[in-house]
Amino acid sequence: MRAVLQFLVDSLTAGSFYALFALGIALIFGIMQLVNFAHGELIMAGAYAVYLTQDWPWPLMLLVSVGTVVLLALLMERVAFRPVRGASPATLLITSFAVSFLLQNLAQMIFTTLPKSADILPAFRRSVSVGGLTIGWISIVTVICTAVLLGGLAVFVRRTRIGVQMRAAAEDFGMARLCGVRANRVIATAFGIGGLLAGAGAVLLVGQTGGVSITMGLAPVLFGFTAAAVGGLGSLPGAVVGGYLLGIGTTLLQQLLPYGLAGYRDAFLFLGVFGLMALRPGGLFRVATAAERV
Amino acid sequence: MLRVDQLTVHYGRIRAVREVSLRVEAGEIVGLLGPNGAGKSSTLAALAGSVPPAGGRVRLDGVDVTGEPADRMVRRGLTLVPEGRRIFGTLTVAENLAIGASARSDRAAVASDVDRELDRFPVLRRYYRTPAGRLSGGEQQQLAVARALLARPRLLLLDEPSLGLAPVLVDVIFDTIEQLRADGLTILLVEQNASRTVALADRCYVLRSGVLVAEAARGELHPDRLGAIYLGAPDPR
Amino acid sequence: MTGEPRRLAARLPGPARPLALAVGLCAIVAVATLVGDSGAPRLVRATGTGLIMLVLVVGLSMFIGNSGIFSFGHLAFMGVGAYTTAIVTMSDVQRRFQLPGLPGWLAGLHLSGPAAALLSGLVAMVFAVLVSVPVMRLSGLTASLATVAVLIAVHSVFQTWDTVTRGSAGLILDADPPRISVLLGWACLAVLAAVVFRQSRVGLRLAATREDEIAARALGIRVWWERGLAFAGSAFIVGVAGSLFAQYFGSLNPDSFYLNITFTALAMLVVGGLTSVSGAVLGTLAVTVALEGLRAVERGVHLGSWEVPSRPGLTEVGLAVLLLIVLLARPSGLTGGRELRIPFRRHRDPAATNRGE
Repeated sequence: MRAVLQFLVDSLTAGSFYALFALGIALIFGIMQLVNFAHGELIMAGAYAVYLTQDWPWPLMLLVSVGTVVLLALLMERVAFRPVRGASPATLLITSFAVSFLLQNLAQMIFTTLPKSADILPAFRRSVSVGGLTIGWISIVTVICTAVLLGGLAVFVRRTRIGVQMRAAAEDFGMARLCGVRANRVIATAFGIGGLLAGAGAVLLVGQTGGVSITMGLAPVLFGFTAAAVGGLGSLPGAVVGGYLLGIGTTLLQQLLPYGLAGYRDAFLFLGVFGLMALRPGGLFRVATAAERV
Repeated sequence: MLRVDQLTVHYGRIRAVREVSLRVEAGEIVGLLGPNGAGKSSTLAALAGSVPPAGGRVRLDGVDVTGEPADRMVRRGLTLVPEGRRIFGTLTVAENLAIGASARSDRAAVASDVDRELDRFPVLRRYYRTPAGRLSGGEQQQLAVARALLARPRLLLLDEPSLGLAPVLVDVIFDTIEQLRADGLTILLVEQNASRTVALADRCYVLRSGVLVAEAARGELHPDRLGAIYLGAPDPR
Repeated sequence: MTGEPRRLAARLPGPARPLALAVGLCAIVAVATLVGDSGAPRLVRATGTGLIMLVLVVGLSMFIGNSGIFSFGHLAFMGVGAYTTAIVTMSDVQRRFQLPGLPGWLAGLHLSGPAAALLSGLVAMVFAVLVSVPVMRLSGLTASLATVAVLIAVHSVFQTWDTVTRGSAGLILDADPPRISVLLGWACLAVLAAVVFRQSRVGLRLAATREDEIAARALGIRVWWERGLAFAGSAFIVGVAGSLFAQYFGSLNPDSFYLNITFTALAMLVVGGLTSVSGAVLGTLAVTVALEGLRAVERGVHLGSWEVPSRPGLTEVGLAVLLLIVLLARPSGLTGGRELRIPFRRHRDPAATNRGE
């Protein structure tokens, strides 16, 4: 019984992270058909912002870190992605890859490859005992924060004017424009929200791991993109479901794999993803815009 | 109101519209006819700003609006109801209508306009909170028109509004168009249903293979003449 | 070819006479090699690296350029080729030390450089064929993303399968590295293969699917078959590139075939022009030169009385900026996706000069 509960906690925590990252990627993909590899560098930038402000009072640290990521995301959109809007998916993909590479190496120039430690809230390091289980405070905070963010986003896309415009643009961008929806505004908003999610994820990630390094954005973006793809690229609920499924999947693999094979966890995971894409390319929530209907 | 001079539209190497000139006066219904692939939809798409023209000039009330993107054209008072309805299936009817008003900031007026459209198309009131994807073809077409009207256009472009609809619904659509003209709206109508369009419109243009081949006022286009033009014979007139 | 496919083919960029083009490109490469080989040791090394990258990029372009689908997974095939060569060419002493757990039949295997290269290409190709069965039926973006999954999975295997790859520590080879002339030979072979493929029936049909997948399907072109062939062929060349990599540098580890090199290869493809072999060649040349220049600056340079301090990471930043500029300003690359027109003609053919662009 305890093992099951522990499993649940671990899955939920991991799933929350993956859902956050997956949403950021799905949001932008839905509107622009762009898989933003540079999302990982947004997370990395957020983490370094946390590192630099770790001694500040935590509300300020939070504001500055998340704000930095949002600004970076908007800048990225304006400078790198707006000029290639409408280009082929291949060009978009490489552009995002190039931005990612640029940011990662820029960070290397500034911070060097040495990982640094960041201790944000000593409170996070403590755990709480519940029914014989030890749960780290950071896990609880992660799950709650994610739930709040997800809820907030759901309200945003349903109740606000620009949120509805975003949903319309994600379904049929051209038609949305024909209705007068302003493309620039919608896309910038999507990037801004993506930045918000990435920044929040970064803070939580640093809280969880206690350290920052320039390559730390790679795993989140890969897992986030995988979760989004599993749920059906472009579908927001799909990204969330995909994130939690991936959380369950990775935790399961961790438990089930015999010791000798433990290192292959990523290989199994991505083999599974590969299989899923081969069998059901639209993901679990088929998004109609994915394939051209003839 | 609308003056189009030598409009040219290319899709890659395909020349869909070749130096087409036409005009639409305020308060008119102008029909744009022609066989499949004649370039009618491409013409509308270029006028609405979906597709950048490769050449030519478009003037709206004397202002040069050539090549302006779609969201800007809506603000200028030109709205397109494209072929195939393209309603937002995952959004509710209410949200679809709200999107139609994206370019407007006068909330109170928008609300009363929504009421007016719900009066005009009662079925939309019934399904107000339903995802639009669940509506039937005819209902979706009505939604598409209502959505466009919510932008308070001065010039409405309609691309094949009766396509795929049952005859009784075709009647509804054409009655609506008549009504809109009576309300003072200017309309440029692309239709496969040539006979009804010819009867309804003040003037008609005929396109074939991207080129304008005929222009006629109401009553001048007999079915025979039209049929001949469609089939490729030179205009007997 | 009859009727429609011919007309479709005529729309493709650049008529090119395969042999003349191949010879012309090889000449360019040879000249560049000669220049590089006569310089300082650093320059010679850069030339060697450049030649190996050329084989990789040409192999990549054979698939990506012709099908329009982005395969990130090819670097996995390169890795497979590299590890294959490493295992079969290292001396017994090294083998017993680095890979004690290697199964007997593998441990006894010994191949010379060229043979190892061919074997590597073969192994890579077989692996690619297995991967391609599910992937080839997918549409562009999904296929690309599936290949990303392949890359990650293979990288993970490289890192974990100690008995065969020695994991993250990597392998070291002690055989003599191949001479620049040998690398040049392989590069020219790769160019020739790519040019011939591009002009072949399979290559043209594949390019047709790139231009308009739906129309091509309507013409009865079996998209997945054509793509599969290109995938396999390009994997072979990329496997050879991996083999050369292992032999020339004498050491490798899982990260050698992961994102850094993928990015460099992509940059070369894009800068040169995605859809042509000329693009692959020119792009590799341009980026190799640019990289050398950037590395010199990164080491710290005295420009007259102005000192630029050393800054690691500058090379990569510079490369990324270069790639972004190309993507934003001229996405079709240096060649615009067309082949070079080689003025050398064996006989005048007025029909060829009159055929469309």
